[in-house]
This record gives sequence, structure tokens and C-alpha cells, in this order.
Amino acid sequence: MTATAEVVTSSSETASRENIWRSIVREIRENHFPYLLLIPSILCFAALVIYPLVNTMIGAFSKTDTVGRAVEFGALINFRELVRDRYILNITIQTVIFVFGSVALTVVLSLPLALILNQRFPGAALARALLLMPWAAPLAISAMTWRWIFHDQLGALNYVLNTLNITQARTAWLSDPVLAFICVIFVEVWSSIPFMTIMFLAGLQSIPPHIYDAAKMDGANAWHEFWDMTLPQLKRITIIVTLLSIIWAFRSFNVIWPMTQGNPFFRTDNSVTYLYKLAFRSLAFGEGYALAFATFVFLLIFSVVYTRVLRSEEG
Amino acid sequence: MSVVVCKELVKRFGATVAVDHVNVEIQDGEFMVFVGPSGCGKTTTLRMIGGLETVTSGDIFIDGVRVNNLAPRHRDIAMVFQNYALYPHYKVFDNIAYPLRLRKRPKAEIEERVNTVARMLGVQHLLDRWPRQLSGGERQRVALGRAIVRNPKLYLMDEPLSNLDAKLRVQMRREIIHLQRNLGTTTIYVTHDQVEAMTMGDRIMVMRAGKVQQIGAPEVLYNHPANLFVAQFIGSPAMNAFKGRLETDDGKIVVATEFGRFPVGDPLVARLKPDRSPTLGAREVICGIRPEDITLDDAPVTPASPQAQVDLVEGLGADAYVSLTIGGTTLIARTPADCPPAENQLVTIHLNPNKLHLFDPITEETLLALP
Ligand SMILES: Nc1ncnc2c1ncn2[C@@H]1O[C@H](COP(=O)(O)OP(=O)(O)OP(=O)(O)O)[C@@H](O)[C@H]1O
Ligand SMILES: [Mg+2]
Repeated sequence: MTATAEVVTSSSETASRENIWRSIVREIRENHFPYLLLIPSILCFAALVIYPLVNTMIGAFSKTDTVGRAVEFGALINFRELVRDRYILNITIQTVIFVFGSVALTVVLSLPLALILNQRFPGAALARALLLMPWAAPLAISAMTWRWIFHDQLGALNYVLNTLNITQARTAWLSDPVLAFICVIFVEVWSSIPFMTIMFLAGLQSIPPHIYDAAKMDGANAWHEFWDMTLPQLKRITIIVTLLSIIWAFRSFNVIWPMTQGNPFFRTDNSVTYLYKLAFRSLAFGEGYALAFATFVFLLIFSVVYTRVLRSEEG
Repeated sequence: MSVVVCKELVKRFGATVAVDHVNVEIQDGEFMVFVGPSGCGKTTTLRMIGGLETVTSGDIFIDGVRVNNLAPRHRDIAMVFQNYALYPHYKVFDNIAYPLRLRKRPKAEIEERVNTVARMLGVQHLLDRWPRQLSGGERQRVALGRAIVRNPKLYLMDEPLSNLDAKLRVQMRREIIHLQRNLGTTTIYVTHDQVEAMTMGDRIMVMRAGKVQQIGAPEVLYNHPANLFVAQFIGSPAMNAFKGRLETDDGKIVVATEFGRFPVGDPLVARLKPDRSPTLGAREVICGIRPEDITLDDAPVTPASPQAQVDLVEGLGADAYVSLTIGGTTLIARTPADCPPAENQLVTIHLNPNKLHLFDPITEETLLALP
């Protein structure tokens, strides 16, 4: 009885699978030109995304040589090494604080900025253009500039603070572990604000304006309009933009590396700068692969859970 | 329940004058319709009364209180928008409940009132849906529900039926009238559809280019239009209009036109405004006649009676519209559909002498006083 049932389901399953393949093949045969045009992009995607990804996965579960090649299957050996690493716990905590701290701060600063820029006032267009300034230079170069601004002897920040008599000391911004960590978060936030603000602006501009009229007639004041109309309407874009920002912050390299290289004493490292050190300084490529793979898996799970949870109430 | 008064109301958008010195008084419990062609300032007037648009000059009073600078939330007015303006991020229940939530009503009361209103409008099975999952007619009802869930002083409705199909529109028209009669709340209803205006309004205000043309009950507008614009805007097909001249034949006043001389009924002569009465011999006028006041017959033609050629007959079931040409003028007549004339046939036309409308050819104002 059970056996027959199984046979039936599996045969119908293979049948439907075959149908899918057949319909795909038919689709390609009938419409081959568009698919032909897709081939270059698919090849690029494979070369630039799939290959490194697969390579990392293989490397994470292999023993590696000093130039990063997988030499033999190593099961979980790299992960065991990683767990035993004396810095890994700190690095994990720092990464999490760096990511969620900078994204939260970026949201908190970008939303009011977007609300202001969404108003009509003289110079609004100029203000919106100025907003894009942090994007004018490559991030690595801006981060380098910030490193000089924070320099204890030659930096503009100390110069201004001392001249205005706010502080007398030459504060060692990037040598003190806590201050340095705050500084890299600051620069990360500074560099992320334009994108998030523009996304919020786009979100604000796509809110149907008449719902504010309706709310006013229903008895809403400015606070209600913001709380009951604007915020819920921005929910979707906020979910997307925070998810993207979290993923990007997890992979952030171009702020920390030019500014501190993770110094002092690995206290400003995140997982990416640390895995870079593992691989290229300690030549522990396997561990580096393992850390990269772990980050990848974490982000994948996180993305799925995050979108599921935040979207669950919507039908 | 309230009285709305607009005094010399003006709204300018830059150089455009959207609303031009509007004076109107809306009575307690009245169903007032603003009607006029697109862009004539109906919506703008309504939005000023609601407080969504600032007033350039003039005053608005609600129950004797000047409200020009009062925020909408302090005016206690509910509005139904042309595009419904439902809150997309709230389910139907919360859409209707929102005005009550803002007023901090207890939960049980909100629940009860939303349910009552939903039953009244036949949307109780939709309360758990999102607005995007509703049809146009259902959205319409929800928008109405959101307005009537509280008891405001005044309803403002901006073309609420314009997105519905013809059948649903007729049905919703009745429902809105029914609702308003039951609630007895003063209502201002905007439409550009004169049929809607005629069937729904206790009184109608006709607007054109920001200016009020006439305010009155539907019958008054239909039978005694104040000017040519109102005459031709109200009624379908539009009133026929042609040039003429008031003259006398044997002491009787007639309109002499390019295509014949038509007697003017005594009741009309009596109503000719004194300063306008023909200092006989030559008074140029524009003469109007509604399609149903033209009768046709194919009786043997006498040389004296004006003859028209039938161009087109459009049957509508009970009636037929007959397009006629007579001496370069096109007229439309409405006849019973059972014996319409044939196309290309020659017919004799009779204009009902008591149903003529006479307008000044320059100002286009009526020459007839109200009876
Ligand atoms: N926000 C605005 N800025 C500039 N001009 C406006 C604005 N709103 C309306 N107008 C102008 O004011 C005039 C009246 O507009 P209004 O919306 O009141 O017309 P309406 O009678 O409601 O027309 P419709 O039947 O098409 O809705 C129009 O000429 C319109 O172009
Ligand atoms: Mg309008």
C-alpha cells in the first residue's frame, strides 16, 4: 500500500520535473535570441561570483598550502582552528557591534535628513546634491583622509579642538582602542548616510500624498501623520535598506583597513579585516576560508529570518 | 448638523484664479451639489472648506464661526476623496477605525461602531482585507464608511462615484442619498456629472472658471437657467440655442429666426424683465429650447411652417433623439420612440411657446424673471 503510494508520488514527481525541463527547453528553443543575449552576463556572473564562492567553500573544508590552494580534504579542521583562535571571540563581538551600531546610527541620522530634504525649501536641490559628496571619492581614499583628520599630532580634528580650547590634549583618536573603534564606526556611518538617505527620500516620494489629506480630515496632527502614515509607508524600504546595509557592513573593509588596519591589538578588526590578516599575514588560508564561509552562512540565514520576521504581518 | 457660509471666497494659485469670489450659503441638513466642467474650481472650493487649502481672500464660516485659519482636525468635517485615499498600510477595519482611534474612543466602542457601519455599507465581510484587495466599488464603500463612522458636522464628497461603472454608480447614488437622509448631516457633494447633480442635490451650485453661475434647486436650474451656460450644462442632450430677434406680429411677440417666426407664450412675455422688454422692432436675443419642447409632425406642409430635414435618429428605448438641420442650424428634438421620423425626411417643427428661453446675446444672461 505504502509502497505503491510512494511509487505513484515519485513517478508523478519525476513526471512533473521532466515537464519543467521540457518546458524550459521548449521556451529556450522558441525564444532563443533573448537567452543568447543573456549568456555573457551569465558567464560573468559565474566567473566573478560563483567561482570564488565555490572556491571558498572548498577551501573552508580543506587543508591549504601557503598560497591558498586546497591540497587535501580536511573536514572541519579549519573551523576547529578558528574556534581555538585567541582573538576570534573579540572579533565576533566587535563585528556585531560594528555592524549593528553603524547601521542603527545610519538609520537614526538618515531618516530625519531625508524628511528634511523632502521638504520644499530654497536650496533643497543644492542640499540634495551636497548629500552625495561622500560618494565623490572612492571610500578607501576618504577613509585615508579621515585617518589624517584623526591623527593625534597633525590631524585637523585635534587642531580645531585645541584652537577652540575645547580640549588641551592631543587626543590619540586612533591609538586608543575604544576611541579608535568609535572613529571607525563614525566613518562607516558617514559613508553610509548618502545611500540610506536617498533610499528614504525615494521612499518618502513614493508615498501617495492624498493619504495625508485623508489623515488630516480624520483628525490627525503632524505627529500622527508621521507616526501613522509616514513610518508605516516607509516600512518596506526600511527593511530592504537595512538588510542591504547590514550585509554591506558585515563585509566592510574599506573603512577599517585604511584607517587602523585593525589596530591597536586587533581591537578595531572586524571579520573581514581579520580574515585578510589570517590569510595574507599568517598565511592561514584555510582558517580565512572558514571564517569567510561562516560569515556567508550567517548572512544567508540572517537575511532569510530577518525578511520573514519583519514581513510576516503583511498579507 | 451645520450651516456653511462662503463669503467672497477667492483662491489663487500663482496667476491662476481657481476660485473667484464665491458666495454660497449651505443650510443645515442640506445636500448641496457643486457641479461644473473640469477645472472650474469645485475641488478647490471643497478643499478650502475642509481646511486642506489655504484661503487667498474671503471668509468661510461654519455655524457662524470663521474657520479660515482653523486646522482641518479642529473643523470636525469628514471628507470622501475622488481617489478614495484609503490608507494602504491599514486593513479595511483599521481604515474605518482610524478616525475613532485618533479620538481615543474605547476599544469596544470602536469595534462596535466599525461593525455597524460595515454592515450598513455591506462591507462586513471585507474588514480583514487590505485596500489593494478590494474592487473600486468596495473601496468606495470603505471610504464612505471611514467618513460616517464618526458623526461629523459636515460631509464633503469629491466626485466619489466617478470611478465606478454606470450601474454601480446609479446604485451608490441612491445609497448615498438614502444615507444622507437618514443621518441628516449637511453634505457638500462635488461632481462634474449633471445627471448626478440633478438626481442627488437638494440644491445645486453651478460653477464655471471659478465663478458661481447659479445656485438653486434642480427644477429651478432646469426650468429657469440664469444664463446660457447653465441652460446648456444642465440637461442632456443640451438645450438648443440659436440667434433670434424679438418682434411683433399683430401685437403678439414672436421670435424671428433665420428659419421661421415662433410665437412667445404670454406667460413668458409677462416675465420679460422690464428693462429688457423689447422696445419693439429690434431686440437681438439668443433663443433656447430643450429637445423635449420641440414637436415634429409630418403633416402636410403649409408654406408658412418651418421645415427641417432629419439627419439622424438615435433610439434610446423609450425616447429617440432626432437631429435636424434647418436653414444652417442644427437642432436636436426628443420624440417618443414609437413613431420616429425617418432619416432624410422633411418634417415641420413646433417650438412650445411657453418653454422658450431668452438670453442676452452679449452677456448671455437670461431675459426672463423667475415666475
Ligand atoms: N495645487 C495647484 N496648483 C496650481 N493650480 C492648481 C492647483 N490645484 C488646482 N489648480 C488649478 O485650479 C483650477 C481649479 O482646479 P480644481 O481642481 O478645483 O478643479 P475641479 O473643478 O475640481 O476640476 P475636476 O472636475 O477636473 O476635478 C484648475 O485650473 C487647476 O489647474
Ligand atoms: Mg476636482
